[in-house]
Amino acid sequence: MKHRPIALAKSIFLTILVLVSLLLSYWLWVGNFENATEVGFTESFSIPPTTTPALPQVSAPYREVLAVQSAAEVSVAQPGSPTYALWLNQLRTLDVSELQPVATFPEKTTLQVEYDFGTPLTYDLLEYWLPHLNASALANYDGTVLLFQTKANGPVYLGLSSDGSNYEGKTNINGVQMAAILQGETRTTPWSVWMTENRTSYIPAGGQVWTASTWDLEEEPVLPIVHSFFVNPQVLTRIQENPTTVLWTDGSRAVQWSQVSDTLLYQDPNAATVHSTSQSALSMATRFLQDHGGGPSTSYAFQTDSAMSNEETVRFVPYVDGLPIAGVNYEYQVTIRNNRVASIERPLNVRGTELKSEQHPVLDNWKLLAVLKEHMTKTTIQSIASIKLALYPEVKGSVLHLQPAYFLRLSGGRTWVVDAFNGRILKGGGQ
Amino acid sequence: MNWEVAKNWLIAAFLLLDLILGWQIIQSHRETYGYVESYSDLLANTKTVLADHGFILATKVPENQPEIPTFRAEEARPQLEQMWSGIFPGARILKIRHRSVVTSAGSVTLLRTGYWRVEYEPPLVGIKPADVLKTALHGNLYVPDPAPESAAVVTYVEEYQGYPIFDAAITIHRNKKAILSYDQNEIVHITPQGRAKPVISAMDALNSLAESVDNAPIGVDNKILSIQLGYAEKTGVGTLSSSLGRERFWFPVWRVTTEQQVYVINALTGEVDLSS
Repeated sequence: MKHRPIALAKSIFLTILVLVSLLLSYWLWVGNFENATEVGFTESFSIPPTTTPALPQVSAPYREVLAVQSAAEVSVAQPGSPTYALWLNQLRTLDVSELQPVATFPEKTTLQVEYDFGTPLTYDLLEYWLPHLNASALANYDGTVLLFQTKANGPVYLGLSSDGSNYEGKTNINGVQMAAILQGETRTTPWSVWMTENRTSYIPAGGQVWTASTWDLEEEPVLPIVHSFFVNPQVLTRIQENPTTVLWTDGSRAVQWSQVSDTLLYQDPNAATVHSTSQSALSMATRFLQDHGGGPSTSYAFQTDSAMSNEETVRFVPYVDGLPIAGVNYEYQVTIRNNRVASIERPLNVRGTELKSEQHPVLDNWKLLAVLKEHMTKTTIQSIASIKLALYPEVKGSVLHLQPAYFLRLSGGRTWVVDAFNGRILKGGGQ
Repeated sequence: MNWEVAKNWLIAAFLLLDLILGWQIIQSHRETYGYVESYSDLLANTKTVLADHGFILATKVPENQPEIPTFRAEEARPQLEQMWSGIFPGARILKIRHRSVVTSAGSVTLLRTGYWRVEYEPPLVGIKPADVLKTALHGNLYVPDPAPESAAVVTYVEEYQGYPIFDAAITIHRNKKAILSYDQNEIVHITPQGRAKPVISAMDALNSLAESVDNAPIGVDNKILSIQLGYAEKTGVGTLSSSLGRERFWFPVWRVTTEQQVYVINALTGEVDLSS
């Protein structure tokens, strides 16, 4: 055979080509694999932006106070209740005409719905909650929006406050219908008013039923949240400050993990120069939380301007079954200084699945007063500055129990907590 | 089909496949390692960016990019009684007060924790500023500050692993004839925290400075006189634990000295410290 060597050479060449192709594919695969792990390493420590807290939701009113003034009857709609949704929807579909500045709102009204917002309403937010209001000339409403009627069967007015001036406009709400709904509401779910020197507190009356719930506590992984605060997590220095606190810092910012309260505190000490931005403190705080691990799905924002100029604090208070969870360890608190997020304090354990819930009637104001008289002196009762129905959190292991309770703040600053189901003193006591 | 013909086709097909795969690998290599710009190109870029923001680069830009650690330290708390005899050898004591000692050669005053001032009375004539280090407390730990010195003030800084600690310094005040006084700040018990970490290049630090500080509105160009890698204390970082007695931390920084101002740039993140 003459061309045998050529055939053999071709076979060898083909074999080499096949082997080379295998080797090249392997390199390509390994190369991609290595790149992937490199990227994957940093990616595994980064957290995707979340959608909670969501901006219009957190800015919603934290309660609506419904009043039939002529009969001195009051009801309070807490978030989540059908009444709350009804009146919020009423606000969003409202038509307003003849909006004009007024010196003061009328002192005597026959019917009134007060929307209590926890944060000032910027123009964007006002436009969201009152889309049919032509309010382009106005901005920065403070936290209150009112619907009121001044004489029986008369027209219903909208009242707004902005930068110290009040505005009033006529609405398309039917006064007769409004009276009927409010009268029904204040009779089926009446609340009583507890007046103190400078505050009005509302207490459920007439054996209203509220929910106590038990939840599984889930621990959020610390490192991904910590890393999300830094430009380059690879240059972080971890400092064990003491047995229960750990500090991570890159020299420009710092995050402290306090294991006792299980909270993370982020601080940006560079926030000294003024940044100009059109964003409101609330939207800035919401965005920042979304980018750094997210927050509770249902929460309402409360904004306080600090004594320092250019500083605002926004607290996101989680609500469960219409009531806020009391206690700073459950709040997400964002401080904005000079239009820049200067610090964040947030819990690390979050509510997981609901294990059980039970509903019971709560003490009304007379029963509460009877309980207080057993445990407090007359002067202590007189020194009560405010009373609030909220959820008292108790943690046992990895289980969180939320108990409806009355939080009584005394004028001296002390707080008493009374179980709203059975009148047991949960906190405080003694004189 | 004949096996020989099939082999020809297979050879052609595999040759093509190998070429494609090889091309892919070369491509991915290029992407991974990138086209590295030369130092002079980078420098020219940086100069342009700086010029846009009113800076003139009038110094050599260091090329080193080492890995250095963050450290924790404390302010020195020397005793007055033990200090003065070393600072003024052979002098007699005239007066001792709570925070100062007056001797026949001058005085030592404790300003605050870790800081003290030495005043020569009469002023020292005929010696070089470096000679002051011989009598200063732990003067051998200090090295000349690499920043350009001025006629009235000469600065020496403490060193940690060959890098200057910019805020632990001996600042000597002099006039044309004599040395008048110096202020000293000393930190002790330096303990590194965690592993050493790579710092950003001086060029990146300058780019970052140009991005966050703009001199253009002033109308006068600001000349950059020097840029060095060293340490600076970050205030604010330790305040998180203020209730526990503040821990103090020093971080790697690039210090940029200009005619008008000194900028401190975090050498780990490139952020310009605008807090002071």
